[in-house]
Amino acid sequence: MTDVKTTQGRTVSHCHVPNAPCTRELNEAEIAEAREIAAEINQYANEISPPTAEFNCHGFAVADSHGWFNHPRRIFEDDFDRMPLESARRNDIVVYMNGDTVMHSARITQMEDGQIHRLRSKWGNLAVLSHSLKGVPEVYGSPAHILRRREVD
Amino acid sequence: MSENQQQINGDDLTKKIQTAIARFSPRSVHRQLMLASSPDAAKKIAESLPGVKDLVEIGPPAGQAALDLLNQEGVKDNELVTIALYLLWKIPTPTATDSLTRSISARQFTGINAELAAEVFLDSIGTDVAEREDRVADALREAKKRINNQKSQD
Repeated sequence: MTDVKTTQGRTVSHCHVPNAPCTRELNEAEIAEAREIAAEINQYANEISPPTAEFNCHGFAVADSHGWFNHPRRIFEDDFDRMPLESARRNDIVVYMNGDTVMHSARITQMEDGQIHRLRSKWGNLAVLSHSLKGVPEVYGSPAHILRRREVD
Repeated sequence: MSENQQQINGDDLTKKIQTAIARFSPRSVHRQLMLASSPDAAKKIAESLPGVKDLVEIGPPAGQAALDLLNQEGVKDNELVTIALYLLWKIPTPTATDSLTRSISARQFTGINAELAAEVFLDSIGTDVAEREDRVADALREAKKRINNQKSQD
């Protein structure tokens, strides 16, 4: 396990396959299966990069795909401002919640008429996909708020 | 209640547990849990899977069944292990501590399962963790301490 630091100097643990506590990389059969699962969930989602266990949605959204972040809380708190969905802009992060649980984060890539039109996100061990705001697995719940990277003086 | 009646109720319970566990089709469990990006997300997905809610409602006898399932799975990186750990988190099962001590100290859990195992283990020994981010390291340290204590007593 390695650490990255937030702008407030707090460490944010993450890992890289195959080092603990990360798991191993997906094999070819699992990659094929991951693609099947994504197509079953949303046939209109486009694959941007292949399925992998190297990073998760939070690693993709807030850390340029640098590893798997099981606990993104510190980076969310220290480096981002939490804002209502209505104020979304390109490159903001949409956080999906199911009840009180943060399930997923996705980066906004396209706005249209002030509405979120397309996002990119990584679905668990699946691929990085381009999709609409509601085009994510049902279990991820609903878009709850956005995170905007805080500008550093 | 007669001894015979207790036996019938026990048989019913065993059947209920077996039926619920049989609903964990490895394929469907695998496909759902492939979507999990964090331990919290994995727990949320686990709770939505068929059979899991039934087992949580059954309580302690289902906790023992979850421990049996955990011990059956040699490799600790698969999704059935995730379900077993979720059940042990929901149904505290004192007999799980020794098994988790051995598996954690041997670093057998990987990925999200390492986080879930750490949480269940630390709960079972009554250790409060100040920061959730440190659970895996804390669990490893505590498990090794327990193993060393056992060795020094032998």
